[in-house]
Amino acid sequence: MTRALYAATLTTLCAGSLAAQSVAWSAGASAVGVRAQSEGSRTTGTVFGGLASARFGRFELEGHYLQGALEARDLVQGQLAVAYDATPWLTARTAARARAYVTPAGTERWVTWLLGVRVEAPLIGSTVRGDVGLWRALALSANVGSTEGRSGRGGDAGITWQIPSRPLWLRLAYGIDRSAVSGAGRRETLEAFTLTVGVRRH
Amino acid sequence: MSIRRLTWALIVAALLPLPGAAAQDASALITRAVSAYEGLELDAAAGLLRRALTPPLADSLGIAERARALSYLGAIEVLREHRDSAVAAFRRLVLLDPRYRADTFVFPPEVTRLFDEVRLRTRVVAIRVPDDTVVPVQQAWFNVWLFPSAPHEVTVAIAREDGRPLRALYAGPLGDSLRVGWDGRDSTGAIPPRGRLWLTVGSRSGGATERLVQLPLDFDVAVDTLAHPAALTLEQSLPERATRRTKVRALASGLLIGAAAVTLPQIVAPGEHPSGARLVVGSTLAVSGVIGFLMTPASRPLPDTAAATQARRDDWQRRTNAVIAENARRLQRTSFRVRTGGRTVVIEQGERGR
Repeated sequence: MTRALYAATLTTLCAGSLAAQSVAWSAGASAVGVRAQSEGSRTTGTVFGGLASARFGRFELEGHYLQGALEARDLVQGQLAVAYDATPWLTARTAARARAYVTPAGTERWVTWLLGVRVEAPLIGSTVRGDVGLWRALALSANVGSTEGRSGRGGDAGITWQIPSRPLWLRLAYGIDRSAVSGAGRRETLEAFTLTVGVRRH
Repeated sequence: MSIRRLTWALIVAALLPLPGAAAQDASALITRAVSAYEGLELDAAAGLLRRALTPPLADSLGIAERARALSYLGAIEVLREHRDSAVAAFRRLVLLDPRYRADTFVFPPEVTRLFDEVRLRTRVVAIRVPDDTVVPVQQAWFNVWLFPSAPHEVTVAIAREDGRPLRALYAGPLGDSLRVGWDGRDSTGAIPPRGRLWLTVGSRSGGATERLVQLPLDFDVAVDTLAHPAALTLEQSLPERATRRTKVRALASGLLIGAAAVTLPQIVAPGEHPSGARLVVGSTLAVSGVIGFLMTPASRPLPDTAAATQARRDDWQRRTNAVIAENARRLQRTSFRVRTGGRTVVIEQGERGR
């Protein structure tokens, strides 16, 4: 019920903003070097995906999708986020993220509701910008055999280059997150080294 | 009721003035005066007319009756060879009704000749407007008809209740008659607020205003216009040129965000063995900050931030233009109402400011 109310509030805010502002679109393709660490095991691989976002004034709606193989298992991840620019340098963000590890023995699903903040600053003029963000899991569910002691948190930092006089942008980012269900003795840490090429349209 | 009380009641009732009695008395006096004039009983006629033209009896007379009384009084004074008194009576007559013309079938030539002399010297204008009219904005005009006592130069204007000018309507010669229109706007093109206004006609002679005629108007309009968007403040404008502070901020941001990237694993997942990717990103951020510090000369234009500020200005202008267009649409559906708020007032030039 609380989640539904929260989602409805966000939807209302976005809808109000949509009516008042012009929309800026962005889309990109990513190559991600992933290193996942579980209890006593470590897998690496490169996955590929894409993202798309729409900005309505101070609000941004963003979707991510990744898929690829990490040695013995496949990784599939989707995320839908809503961000609000509180100031030109501070953004609040909430997201719903679903991550699945697919193995021959079955599929392990982790669904997380995130809430976090991001700080952004121009580094070279305003074409090169750096950012760092941290988040915590408001809610987490995983089909790993227990619901006790669920927690999650993460962060990422990156640098984005908006090519002058072109709609193209490049981004290099490093992110890490940890999700845990202590009742099942499971702890998943995932590091991602991401290179994204995108286009932006105002 | 006793006989005594009944008697007193009848006496009091007999003494109370009957409604319209004053008007009947004044009109009767004028009729008797005209009969006396025709019988050449000039002194008696003059006495009757002066009584009729003196308050409170004069207050009950209409303009036409007062004009008739003054015309006969002037004629009597001409015949009694009281020229100054005749001129005074005719002058009052011209000011009362600038359109009045002496009837040559009623009065002898020496009377009409003197009246015309006085009329030509006494420059004043009669104003005719609708008593109560509704005028659609941008589609019609509030029409004012002007009739002079004699051809002369006039100025026509609308003034606010406190006398400050609101809109000049006309300045130039006035011959037989003139129609002047007002579109319900002030000199800036805006609709004035509802309230009392003055229609002012100045009669000019020798480059100076000799006499003013003012007609009070009650102006009423209901315009539901939108307020313009608030102007952009200085805080809403991004710096359009780099400063030393910009350089230092770029360096600090690069170093801090780079350090944050390197230390993220310790914050998020302590105890894990992080990959070297964080060092690549962290060092890239730090180096970018240093480059930003070194390569951004102070006062260098920042086209992106200038463009962002310009975009905000353009957005503000777009919203302002939309409000202006909407207000213009609303104005087209608006009407203003003008009612005359009383009798005209004639102010001699020497009386202004009293």
